[in-house]
Formats: sequence, structure tokens, C-alpha cells
Amino acid sequence: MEAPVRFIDAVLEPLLSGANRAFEAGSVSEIVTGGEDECAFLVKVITGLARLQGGKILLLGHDPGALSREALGGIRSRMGIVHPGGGLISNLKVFENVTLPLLYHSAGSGREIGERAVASLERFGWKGDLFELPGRLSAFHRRVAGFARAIAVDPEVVVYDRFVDGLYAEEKDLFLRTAFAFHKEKPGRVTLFVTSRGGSITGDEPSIVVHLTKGRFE
Amino acid sequence: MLAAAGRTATQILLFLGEISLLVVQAFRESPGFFRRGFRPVFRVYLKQVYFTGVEALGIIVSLFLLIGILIITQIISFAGVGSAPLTGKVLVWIVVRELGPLLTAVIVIARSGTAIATELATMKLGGEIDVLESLGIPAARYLIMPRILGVATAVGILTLYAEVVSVAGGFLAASLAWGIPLEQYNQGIVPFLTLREIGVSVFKSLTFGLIIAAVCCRQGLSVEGSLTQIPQAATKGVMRSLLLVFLHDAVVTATVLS
Repeated sequence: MEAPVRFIDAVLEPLLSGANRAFEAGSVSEIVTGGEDECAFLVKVITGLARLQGGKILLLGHDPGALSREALGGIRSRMGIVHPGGGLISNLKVFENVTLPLLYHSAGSGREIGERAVASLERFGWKGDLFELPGRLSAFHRRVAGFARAIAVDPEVVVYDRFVDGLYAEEKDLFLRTAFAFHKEKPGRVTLFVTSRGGSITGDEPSIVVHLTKGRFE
Repeated sequence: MLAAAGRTATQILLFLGEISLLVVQAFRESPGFFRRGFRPVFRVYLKQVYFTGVEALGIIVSLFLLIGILIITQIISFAGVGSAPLTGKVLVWIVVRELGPLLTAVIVIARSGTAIATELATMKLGGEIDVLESLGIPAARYLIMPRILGVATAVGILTLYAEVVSVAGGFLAASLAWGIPLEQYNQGIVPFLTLREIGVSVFKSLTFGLIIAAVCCRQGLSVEGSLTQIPQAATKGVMRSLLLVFLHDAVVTATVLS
């Protein structure tokens, strides 16, 4: 079975200098970079937002650089990105944020989609207002809503960007427990924790810890 | 100096090219959204029509009621009560041909143009455009297309309202102040309110809407890095929209009259 995320001689200076790595189906990996900017940049590469200067990256078997916009959108709809600040759209309410990718990509009824969104939020014991704008939420609740949005689409690849940075111990436990439990819910799901703080992903240990050093995975 | 003029001309041409491209892109996106993303994109479109059209209705109605009253008062006080043909001609020329689309566009620029530029600039600086793309939702389809088509729809409808209200305001003044009956008032208006006049007005209002939204979207999305650029984007959006709308109005009017 083809690795869902594979770097092949990937070059994008100064982040990648001929990086090679296959993140196999079902694996949980922690990618440790040299800093926060590198984390953000690497996530852009993985989602196909940053174009490589050389080599290629295969996402779910496809090279994002060779795909049409529609096809790339289809690939991205099978991925879930958990952004460090939640990554919510500021003019949409919490409920609208969580349902947005589902409404855009799926043909399910509005009711079904709404129920999925609420179920995703309830995994975190959400007790806040579903119809609040992100600007009025606490930083933690914004992150919860962003996490719930990623979970709701039931992705094949989940990328956690600086996942536990800035969280209190209890919040960190909740997030990690949920992330590992979510990983096990779908066979073959790939989970990537991109962080600049090695060893911050605790609990169920990641099966692979990769360091991105001098542009290469080690 | 020649080099500077050349650079400015190139910048203007590039800017116009970008605006045209955004409008073309909006139309090219519109069939695609029926296949994917119809529900959220249509919601953005409706919100834009509501914000630009419905919420501006009060100010448009009040303003054009007063304009209708003022124009009729001026004409009758100048030409006398028996000047029905002149009254109609001037009202149609001023309101339907020019003021209806133009003033509506100016109000929309002030209300929605600034809002669009500010909103998109804030989203860009907050990394929300990248977030949308990472969700597989193209910004061109989710953010730009519904705004451009929404503003064009709203300006078109608002202009129609503005013109109807203005003519009604004129009748109100003529009837209350000079006792002119509806029949006589209509005789002055209807012969001059041809399909061509209405068509030009609709064309102008729709294209004004496209220009306003495209310019403000472009300005909002052009910010890079600093929060201080947000108000600058809004100001530039307003100024450039105004300039282009007036320029376009002059070109269309000159073309129609010639």
C-alpha cells in the first residue's frame, strides 16, 4: 500500500534540501523541526500550499503540484489540519466553522452535517455557545473548534501543527487523548504531529519521531 | 519623467488587468459552484446581497425620495406647471440615466466597498485564506465570486428601487405643491422612459457593482504583513472604485449618446 504522505528528494530552501521520507498508512509520527516558522512552513508544504523547488511530495498518491485546483481540493478534503490557533474563519460562527468543510465537500443533508459537527464538539465536552463568533471565544475554545472541524471531516491524514504549544496540562491531556483515540478510529489513518519541541507529544507515544535537520528527515 | 509616466501607465494597466481578471474569474467560477460547494458559497452570496442591498435600502429610499422632490421642484419652478414633457425628460435624464446608478454606486462603495476590503484584508493577514485553501475551499470561489456577483445583484436592484422612488417622490411634490394629477405627470415621464434608457441604467448599475466589488476584493487581498495596511486597503478600495465607476460612467454615457 502506497504511503499516504511521501517526500521524494523534496527541495524548498531553506526548509527542505532533498528530503526523503514515507509516512506509512496507520502510522503516528512526530516531526520535530528547528522552530515555529519551520513548522508552519512544513504544514504548508504538506497541504500543497507551498510549491517545492525540486523533487516532489505525494499526498494520498498524488503530486499536488501536478493537480488541477479541483483535484487538489478533493485531496485536501481528505486531510484534516489542526492549526495552532484554531484556524477559524473570523466571520463565521463556531457551528458554521465546523460545518464549513462538510457543507462544501459532502452531499449530506444539512441536518446530518449539523449532527456530525455537534458530535465532534461534544468529544471535547463543548458547553459554549455554538453560535458565537471566534473573536469572542477563549484561545482554548478556538483551538477546540478548530480541532473539532478537522475531526468532523473524518480525514485519512491528520496534521497537527504545534498541537500542544501553549496549553495547560489538563487541556494538553484532553487534546492528546482525543488525537490518539481519533487516530485509532480509522484503519490506515496517518497522524503527523509537527512540532518544534521534541518530546511534547506524550501519552500514547508516537511510533516514529523524525527530526527535520538541515533540510532532511533524520 | 518619461520613464515615470511609463511606469505609472504600466501600473494602471496592470491594475485594470487584475480587476478584469477578477471579474472574469468570478463568472468562470459560477458554473463550478453548482458542482461543489453550492451551499456555503450561495450563503456567502445571499449575505452579500443582504448586507449590500437590503441594509442599504433605507438610506437609498430616503435619499432618492428627496432627490425626486428636489428635481421636480426645480424644474416646475423654472419652467412652470404646464411643462410636463420637459419635466419628464429632465427627470429621466438625470435620475434614470445618471444619478440612479451613480449615486447608488457611491453609497455602496461607502458602505460595502470599505467593508469588503477591510474584511478580506483582515482575513488575509490572519492566515484565513490559507486555512480555507487547506480545507480544499478555493478563496476565489468562496470569498471572491459570491462577493462580486452579490454586490452586482444588489447594486442592480437598489438602482431600480432608487429610480422608482425618485419618480414617486417627484409625483408627490408635483401633486401636493402644484396639484398636478397622476395622468399629467405620467404623460411627462412615460414617453421618455424607453427600454433603451432602462437598459442603459441596468447595464451601468450591474457593471458598477462588478467594478466596486472587484476593486475592493483586490485591495483587500493585496495586503502583506502589517495591520496598518488594513485601513489603507479600505481607503484605496474606495478611492479607486470611485475613480473607475465615474470613468466607466463617462465612457458608457459617451458611447450611448454618440
